[in-house]
Amino acid sequence: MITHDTLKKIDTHWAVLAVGNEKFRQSILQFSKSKLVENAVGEQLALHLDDSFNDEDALRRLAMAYEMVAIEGMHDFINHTDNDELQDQFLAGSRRAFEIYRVLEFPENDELKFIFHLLHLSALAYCGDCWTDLKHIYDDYSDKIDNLLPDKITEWDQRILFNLFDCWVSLFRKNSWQDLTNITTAITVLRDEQDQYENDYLKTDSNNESQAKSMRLMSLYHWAKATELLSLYTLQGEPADIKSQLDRHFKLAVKISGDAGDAQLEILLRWMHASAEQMVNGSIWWIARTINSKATRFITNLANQAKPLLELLPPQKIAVKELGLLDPAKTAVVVDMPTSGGKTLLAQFKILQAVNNFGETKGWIAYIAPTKALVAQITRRLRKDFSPIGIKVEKLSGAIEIDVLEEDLLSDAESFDILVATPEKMQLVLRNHKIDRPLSLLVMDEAHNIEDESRGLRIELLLATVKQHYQAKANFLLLMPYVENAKTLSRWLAHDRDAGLAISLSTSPWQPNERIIGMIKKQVSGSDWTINYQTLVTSPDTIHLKGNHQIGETRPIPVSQSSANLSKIVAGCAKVFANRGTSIVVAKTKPNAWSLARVLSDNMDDLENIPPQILLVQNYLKAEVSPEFELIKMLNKGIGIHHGDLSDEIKALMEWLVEEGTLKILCATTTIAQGINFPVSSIFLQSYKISVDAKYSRNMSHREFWNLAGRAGRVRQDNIGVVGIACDTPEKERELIEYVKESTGDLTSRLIAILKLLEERGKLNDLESMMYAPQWEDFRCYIAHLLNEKKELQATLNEMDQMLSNTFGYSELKSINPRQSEQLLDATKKYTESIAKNMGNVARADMTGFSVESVRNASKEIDQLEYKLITSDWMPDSLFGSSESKLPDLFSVMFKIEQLNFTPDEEQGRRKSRIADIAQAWIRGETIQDIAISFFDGSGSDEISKVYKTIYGKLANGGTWGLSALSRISGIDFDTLSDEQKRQLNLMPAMLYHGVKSEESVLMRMNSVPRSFAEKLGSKFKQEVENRNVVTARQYLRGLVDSDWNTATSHSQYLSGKDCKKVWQILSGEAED
Amino acid sequence: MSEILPAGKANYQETHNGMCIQGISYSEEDLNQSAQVVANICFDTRGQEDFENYILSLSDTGFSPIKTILPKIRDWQVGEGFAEAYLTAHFSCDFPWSNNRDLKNPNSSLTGADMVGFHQGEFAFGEVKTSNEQRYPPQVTSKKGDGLNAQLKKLCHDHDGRWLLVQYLFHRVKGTIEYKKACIAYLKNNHNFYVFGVLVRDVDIKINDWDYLKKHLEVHGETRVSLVALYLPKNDGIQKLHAAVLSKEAKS
Repeated sequence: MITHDTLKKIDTHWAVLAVGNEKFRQSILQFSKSKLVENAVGEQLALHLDDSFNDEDALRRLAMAYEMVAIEGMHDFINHTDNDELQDQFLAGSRRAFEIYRVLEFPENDELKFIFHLLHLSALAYCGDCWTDLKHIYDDYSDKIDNLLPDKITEWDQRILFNLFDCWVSLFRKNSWQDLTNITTAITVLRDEQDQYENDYLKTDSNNESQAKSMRLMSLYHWAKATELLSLYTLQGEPADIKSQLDRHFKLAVKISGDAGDAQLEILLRWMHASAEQMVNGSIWWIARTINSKATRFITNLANQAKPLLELLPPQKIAVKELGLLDPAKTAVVVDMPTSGGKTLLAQFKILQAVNNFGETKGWIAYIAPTKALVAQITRRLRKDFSPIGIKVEKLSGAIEIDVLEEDLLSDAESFDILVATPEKMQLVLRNHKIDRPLSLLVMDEAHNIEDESRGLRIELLLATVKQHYQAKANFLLLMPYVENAKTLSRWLAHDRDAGLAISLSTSPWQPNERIIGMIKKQVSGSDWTINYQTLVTSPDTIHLKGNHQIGETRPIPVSQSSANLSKIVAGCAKVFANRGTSIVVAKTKPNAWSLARVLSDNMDDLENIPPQILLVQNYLKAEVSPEFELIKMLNKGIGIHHGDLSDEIKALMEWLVEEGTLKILCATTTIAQGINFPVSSIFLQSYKISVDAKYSRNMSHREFWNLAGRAGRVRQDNIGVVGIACDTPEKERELIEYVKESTGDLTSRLIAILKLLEERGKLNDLESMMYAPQWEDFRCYIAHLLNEKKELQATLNEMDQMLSNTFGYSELKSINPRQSEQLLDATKKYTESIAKNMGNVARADMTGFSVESVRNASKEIDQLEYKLITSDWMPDSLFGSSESKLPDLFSVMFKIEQLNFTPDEEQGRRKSRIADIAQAWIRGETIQDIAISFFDGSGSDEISKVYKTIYGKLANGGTWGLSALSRISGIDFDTLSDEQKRQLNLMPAMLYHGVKSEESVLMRMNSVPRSFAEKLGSKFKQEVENRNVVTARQYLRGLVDSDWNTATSHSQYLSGKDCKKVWQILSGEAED
Repeated sequence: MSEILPAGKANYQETHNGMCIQGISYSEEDLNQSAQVVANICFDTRGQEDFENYILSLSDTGFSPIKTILPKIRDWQVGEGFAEAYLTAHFSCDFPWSNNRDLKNPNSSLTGADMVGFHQGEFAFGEVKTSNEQRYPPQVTSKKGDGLNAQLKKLCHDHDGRWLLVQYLFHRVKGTIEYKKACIAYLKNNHNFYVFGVLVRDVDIKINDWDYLKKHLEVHGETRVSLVALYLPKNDGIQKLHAAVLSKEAKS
């Protein structure tokens, strides 16, 4: 495999040293990078380099030197000798050679030379694990490739050669199943044509010439056969002995061309042979041999998709083949991989392995994703890939309570194999043992959130809970980018010392593409201004081109230089780069995101033809939000918005538009860094600081920054991703220069971080009382849970040390700071003793997810109400529909529970009746526009943002959790309730979460039906289907025909039945008909 | 019988625009002495057998077998063998891979050079033309496409083509000190190589043989291109050499 070490090592190879001293070679490499950048973004970025080195000849020599390094190891690579060093040398040399050859001029005027050149370059890319970079080269030369018409050529050897070139372009590109299927046809046609063309070709005056021509043909015939075999294997995974068959044909082809003195063909064939070997190594079929029959069906399914997946990305291949991802003895695997490296597919392989091991016990797999949007995205992906092979995938809503419909789902052993949820939700499921089946595997995506200030501890403790309760059988798979101590994490989670496996590839030389990361600032010249771009030295490495480069023309946004603030600068960058592919502008705050979008909107033209995807989203917005919603007009210009104060559906649709390539610019906030799975062409940040609240901001963690920067550049499309961070003072510039240099570092437990902070403040001796601070809330919940599980104080205290050792923080602390670990243990024990005095509250805390203190607080507040809450007060009809509703009072209780996070700055939301009124309007089905007008005095973007903020920021989170918890704390005796009452009570939070007023509508919403149509479709569903649950609702929706959708949308003037169905398909991940 | 080609008699020598030009003549006796050395270069006893096996191997490819016969050795091949033997003996060249010459395609634009090897620690590439044409210069020096001028020009100026030859040689001699030395020199400066153009003639000895090349060939560096005309006995020298070499074939 290619590592930094192997790359470094070949730099001291005699061939490389022969080119010149290190300084000279550095100049050559810098020159090649500048050419690469210029080719990729020359239209947007005018390079003014400090170093004027431009020796093309030296460039060529260095490329040759690296190729020499490669071919020295080629024999060992092709023949799988024992000499790993030479094999690695081959791969590393190929990579370096490709990196330089790709910037050299193409022989465009000579078709034959062009063919040989492109095939040679492709082979170097392939063998150097850079095949994702090939895509753009093929794109650049697609016209030229398409204009090579083999059918017009009558000279037989050239006719074969041109046809084989076509076949190999398809093999390298792997664009479609059809392309690859055509290879077999093309070779069959060549066989049929042999009689027609061969005799004429061989007719010469000279026997010698005829002989030599015969040899050329024989060599080509063997190559053709190898090509056919490779295409069949790529498509179907057969024949099983592909490598030996390829070896035979390629070796003969090489030998024959060599004997004929045909140096050019011989050398090319050697490279094709190596590429074929590499292609088989990376083929999903070759990888699948190590798993099981289900995996084969899964892969058959992937290979048959419209955009077939036939080959693993280099880091995926390394993870599975070389680093033992699927080793069954490894119970905890931590995968540290670069953003866009393809972690999800690795998780899928691991899941298939786990499903295979379910055996007779009907196990299940927990898949945890950090945000609701990602939960939805992952569910869509898993469902699409797994449902054809009978693996069932369900997701849970983002509400921190388990409603009755979810209860139904969790208790039905047949309903799912994989459950996807946020950490908070999964914690409720696991702590309350909601699933009576063995947990086989826990997959945690974006697991670096363990160090997140607000959620990190919760995530760590969730993992600790699984270790505590399920470790005997459950395995772990943690996926994360840029984590240097993956090994420590895997050792923590593993059953025993040897069962942990860390797969560290974030800092491997493979990256989805090259990147430039730079500072953007205003350059003033008289009354004019331009945008200056300076690349920065970063860790991990990116391309650094010393000099002051200019983005776009003078005044990219037509304002005076004094008005050109940071917003205008980043907007200007995005506008210039948008022509190259989607650009993301990251604003510091949500209002900033809107104002950036406005600046851009004012300065960009409407799209010439608005794509149907955008029209669909516009219609959706008109129906679901408001026909006047500002975003609709922005979309005319290809500008989108993505931030926390928008509905999950809108965000998902924005992401879909990016995936479809229809958005030019997406204006977002830093929350977009949190695991979006859509790569973009360029990213411009207003700042690398994140606003914590109105007053404070903090630096993005380095991991967050790289996770975001890693999205710049598209795998298989752009060869250069561009990232720019705006600066407007020398001090900020200095800070930024240092910031990007620092490494991402180790992942640390929040527990350790909090203790460190206390130590710095000299408060560690007072840990017992400090433990009541908000940042310890999750820890206290965990302790309550442990106590509730044990039921008995002394037993809990006796095992406390052992139980705490299940946390990452405590287990680390014990080895790095034993004294502190003892302090923590003591304080924890004292806390346990204090809460044990009221075991009822402990049980209620564990059941609701509240801390014991919150339970106590809530009980006290409820007791202070002027009346006693009775069962009927909790029924949805009463709570959401009656003028006697107790909802305002319940909100007043919730406002006093800090854990629910009704932040005090919410002046409007603090008014209890107002938020209760909004909740009622939301459930009644009032439109977002109506709610905005009624409660926020307008329906502009700001007001609509406020509505979403109230609904998704307050009602859907704290509101649903609070109501659900309060209903359990309020003293109702659940045992006396009828089944129907229990059902209604348990449904109430889900109605609030989804903004609908019936069980059937909730089922529709759980299956991604837009809210405006959920009631109508829900009541139709109720009439037509007796057994109603999440799964039958989805089946029902799948079975609806166009006329059904038309009926459901008949009241909407904006969204037709067909459109509504399409939106549902996008949001639910259902395949199109 | 000598294993080294006789030195012959130097008839003319000059330098012109960085090219070293010389003419050497051989007597019949010289030819007889040369036959074995040239035969060693020209003949490949495995050629026929391999060729037949190659044809048989086609049954696995789905293509039909090709119907051709292995031809006898030709004049131009004997000429090339003679040239190679000369450069090896008298220019201290080493052409480590010169087998199977009998299978080479003389007209393909894709082929490499007639000779690929080493000279004075650097790569050496050579092209050979055999001609009994009574014209000075003979057309083989000026012919478009595969004339000596075109071939030498390609060797001097086509980086990519030359690089193929360097690789071609590598796959045959990799690991040798001689190769590494030449390769290092080449990677330091890709003008560090030698080119030889050889004419094998059986006509009157005239320096005019080189007129076309003197006028048209632009070399890549001073004293890095040598043009050598080897004059065999007039009228039938080439045929005689051919016959002599063939007689050796029977013995080998």
